[in-house]
Amino acid sequence: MSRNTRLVLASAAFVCIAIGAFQPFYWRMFAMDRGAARMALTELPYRRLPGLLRFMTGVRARTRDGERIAVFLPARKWDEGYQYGFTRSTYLLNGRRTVPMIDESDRPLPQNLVQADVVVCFRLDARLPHFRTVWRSADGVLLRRTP
Amino acid sequence: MMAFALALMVGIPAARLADRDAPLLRFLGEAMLLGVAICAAVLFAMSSLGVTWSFTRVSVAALLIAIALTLALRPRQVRFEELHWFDLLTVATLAGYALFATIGAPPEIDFIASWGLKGATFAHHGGIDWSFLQNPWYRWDHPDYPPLLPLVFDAMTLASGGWKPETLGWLYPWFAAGLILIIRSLFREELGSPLRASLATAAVAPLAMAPWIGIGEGPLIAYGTAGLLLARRRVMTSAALLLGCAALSKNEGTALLIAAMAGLIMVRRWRDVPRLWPAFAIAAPWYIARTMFSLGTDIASGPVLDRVVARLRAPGELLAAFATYRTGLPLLWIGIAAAVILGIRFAGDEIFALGTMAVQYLFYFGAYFVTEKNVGWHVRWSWERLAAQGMATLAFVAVVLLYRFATVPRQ
Repeated sequence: MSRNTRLVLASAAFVCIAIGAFQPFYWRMFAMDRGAARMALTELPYRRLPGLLRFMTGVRARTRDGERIAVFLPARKWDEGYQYGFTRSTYLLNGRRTVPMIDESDRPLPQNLVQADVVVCFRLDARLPHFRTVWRSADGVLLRRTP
Repeated sequence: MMAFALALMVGIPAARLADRDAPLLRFLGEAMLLGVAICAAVLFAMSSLGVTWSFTRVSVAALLIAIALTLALRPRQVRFEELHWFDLLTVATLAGYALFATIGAPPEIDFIASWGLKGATFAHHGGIDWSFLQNPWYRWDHPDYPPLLPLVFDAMTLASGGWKPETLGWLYPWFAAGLILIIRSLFREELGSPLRASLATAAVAPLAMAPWIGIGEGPLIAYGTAGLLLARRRVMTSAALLLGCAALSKNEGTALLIAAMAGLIMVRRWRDVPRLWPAFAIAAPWYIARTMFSLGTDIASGPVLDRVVARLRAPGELLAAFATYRTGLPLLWIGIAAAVILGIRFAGDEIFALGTMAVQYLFYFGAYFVTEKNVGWHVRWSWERLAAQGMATLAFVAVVLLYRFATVPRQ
């Protein structure tokens, strides 16, 4: 094989590597509206439960570190919405201790309510014995254990 | 910015001590990568000793480490490497990546459910919150995952005065830049001219820029690739330190450390195998803590052998998943395969890197046979990321093979 042939073959393989690795998206960033992209990305992780980010941010402002928060969500099954909302609520309420109201097998966990200092109900209304409503918004309600 | 300044303060003497002969770019890259890891290690040590985190305490500890490392240094001239205007292409790509990584708070679900959640929780707690990791309700946050990334998030949080997820993206161009500096320096040594080194770096650089912001792929790619490429170059102390950091970044990093050991054995570099001890020393405290606090891994829970046997008997589901879901960048795979075939005559020199990656990919496939999750689901949501973890190493070796194929005359 001549030197020129080797050079052509090596160049072709190198071009495959260069094009294969190329990320045009990073170059598009120079022309992108970052403000609009930021707004879209902020809502992206919560898009299946619109209002969850706003509601849990409100809950966070009205609760303290270390409090146990029972989380009620409109989903009744772990894999069909509950886990989605519970993981995200736990992140948004970091520093507090969220407790789920169903387990991974969709069994209700009423005993977790006994441990809770606070109950949050997203897109649900609730009246619970030993809890009083302390905040209500269009997205849900926050209840605190009565002394 | 304060966190990165702190990282450089400890990283510069650490890199100088670990790799005395490093030329400037390699030295800077190692300093960037080792610096943030030392900040994370300081937080881990403080947490283990029951000392509540504060920026003052971390800064004092880092300063003392920097002084101790500097005192151990012997003055030595740093070799400067010639740059080429073509390097601006890599700089521009990195700038675009920095714009992408810092748009806002990381939106990845694994950031919200694991890496970011841990970082935020530890920051609130003022240390690693072991009771949070042990809490069975949060099993989905992967308590067994190594803590380097959440701890680096916490170092940034301490420096900025509060949990600000929108600032954490800066870590990713930092990791990428550290790795790219090392790659550029190694290409200069392999390819013999600044032009060729800058062209090759520009081609490979995007593989150092993980598109998944906020999760463990960025640090793993940086530490793992840098560690392997330096071990390939026989710079064993730095290689071992960086591979140790890879093991503290993700469980795949620990697999990579084992794979690198296997790679050294394949090429009979017997004397280099024990020289990996710093990597094990770095990873050990986390594995001891994991055992002490019973932080189990979900992939190996339940009847593992039954699952393996069942999937070996009926591999159709796994094969169908690989056929269905995205498996990385096809043209890149073609280019790498072509390079290995064309440069097969020189591949003997690259058995360490290629063998290590082969063992590592075997570990990945093994995980799919073991996983407790639905295998199709697991392949769909992980394979593209797993494949990307080794791409920078493979592409580096491929370019070196192509250069030798094109330039070395047949005997």
